[in-house]
Amino acid sequence: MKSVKVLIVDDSELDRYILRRQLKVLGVDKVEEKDDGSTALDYLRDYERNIRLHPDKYPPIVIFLDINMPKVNGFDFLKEFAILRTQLAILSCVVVMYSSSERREDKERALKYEFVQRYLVKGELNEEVLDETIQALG
Amino acid sequence: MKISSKLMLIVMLTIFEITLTLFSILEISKGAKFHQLNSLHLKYTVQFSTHISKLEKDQIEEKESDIEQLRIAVKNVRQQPIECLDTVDFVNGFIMRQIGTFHAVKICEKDINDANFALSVIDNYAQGSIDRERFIADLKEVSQRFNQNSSDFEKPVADTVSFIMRTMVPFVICLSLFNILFITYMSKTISSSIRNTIKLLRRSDDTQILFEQIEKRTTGELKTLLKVAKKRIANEMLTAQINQKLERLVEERTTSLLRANEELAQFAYRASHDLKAPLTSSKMLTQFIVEDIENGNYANAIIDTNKIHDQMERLETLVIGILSLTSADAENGHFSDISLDAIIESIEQRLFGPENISRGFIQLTDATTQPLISDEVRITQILENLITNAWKYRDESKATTPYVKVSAIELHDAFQLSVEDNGLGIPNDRKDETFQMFKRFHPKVSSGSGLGLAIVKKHVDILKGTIVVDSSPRGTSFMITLPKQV
Repeated sequence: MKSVKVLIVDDSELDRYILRRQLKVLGVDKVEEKDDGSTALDYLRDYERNIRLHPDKYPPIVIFLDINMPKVNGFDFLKEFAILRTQLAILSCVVVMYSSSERREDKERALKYEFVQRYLVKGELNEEVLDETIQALG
Repeated sequence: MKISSKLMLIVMLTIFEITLTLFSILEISKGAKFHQLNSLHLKYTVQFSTHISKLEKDQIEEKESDIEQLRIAVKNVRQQPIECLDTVDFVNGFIMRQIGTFHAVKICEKDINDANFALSVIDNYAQGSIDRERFIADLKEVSQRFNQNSSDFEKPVADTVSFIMRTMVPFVICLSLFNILFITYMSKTISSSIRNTIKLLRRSDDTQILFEQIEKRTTGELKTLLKVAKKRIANEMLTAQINQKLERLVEERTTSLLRANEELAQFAYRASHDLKAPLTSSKMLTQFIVEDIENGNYANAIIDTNKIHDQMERLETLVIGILSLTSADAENGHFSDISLDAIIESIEQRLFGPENISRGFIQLTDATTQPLISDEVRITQILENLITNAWKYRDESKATTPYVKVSAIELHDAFQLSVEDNGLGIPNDRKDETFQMFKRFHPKVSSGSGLGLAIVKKHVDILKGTIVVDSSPRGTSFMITLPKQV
């Protein structure tokens, strides 16, 4: 359980900090952060190099994904990632949405992908929920 | 010539032809009647002379009844010339005079006179004024005259009839032929003028030329018809045009309403997100701070407290931005002479504080001669937002020191303000988002409300001006054109 590899994709440095700290309390410390969908996709694509450089963090098992990001937003990322995960054979990698949006349509749109396992709303996320999520997915 | 006049002419000609034909038939039948009367006259004359022969042979005194029978015979003879004279009218008399057969009428009159003489002879004999020999001789004389009259009458009548046959029949035939030709010609001209009009309308000439051609080449009812039709069609086209315009207007309004609605929804979504985010983060951070203090980890608590401070500042900027965005919409501007120098100076004061005022970051060139009349509050906010952006997103790595050049020039009917910097520029793939709300292009460098340029755009729109942006990694320039106030 402690070996869960996590990738956080969020443009807000503060939100990444908060999540990282919450994960650390749960003992999850193999965490990589990306501030935008495109850099995250680049990171996932560069398989050979990253597996050598970050053998402890790569490939991630759980991706925490924000929706509101400039350039490549959460939904753009999901579309690309749906293709990428079969190409790279990282099918065990799942996505947890991590957004401040409580809109139903956002939620439904994200959960249409079978690899999107949870939809967590920022601010409502406490340690129990996070713990349950990591336990279930990790 | 009008079509109706042509038709009227055809009708008149036809009536004339029919009248003439009927007249000819009537005249010819009159001739036949004269012949018939003449043969009757002969028959009665024969009866009369038979009576006389009988008187002569009998040699006896006549009875009263015999005398009376004689009278009846004479009256019978006299009846035909009377009828003849009744039948002859003015026209007949005129024609007969012209062709020299009028003596037929004279013969009739003479015949009547002869008959009257015969009656007076009979009367005289009955009264005994004349002897029987004289009586018979006179009657014989009269009988001969009757015979003579009959044979004299035959020729002028036959002449008259044959004259009518010779003249009227060919004349009627000629008239009929003429009529046929004339009617054919008239209907040809009518149908050809209709055909020409159709041809004229079919030709795909320019409308103006068509109207000229109609004016020049059509006449009468067709011209009137085309004019009325033209007026009618023009009216209908006008109505159609108005309807189309209205439809377009409705469509445009609907589109702009939908867009406004969409914008509002977007605004609410982004505003609530951006308002909520710092609050939720701060809530989390306070929890961390409490934990850190409990664990004696004061250094970390201070870092997180500063983070909360940053979040609160961010929230404050956002709230101010939203407020000025809504007030940009609402305020009714006050127009006055504007001093760009004063505005720039006040912006400089606010941006750098009094101590750093001489760094020369803002460079103003005012090339206007007329005073710029506009809404000072809006112009100030426009320039302040643009200059603040230039400062926030300056590029220290460039060879030239960061600057923002503000210049004003005067056109014929507008003022142009340009704000040009050598900063980071707007990313090429996001230029269409430049004036959208809640868009931040360099969040790592500085994270504002994302409303600055949206507010600028709103002010420019309300001042009925335009704003265009040109940006590259070398820097960004905004060109604002404001119409001169009259």
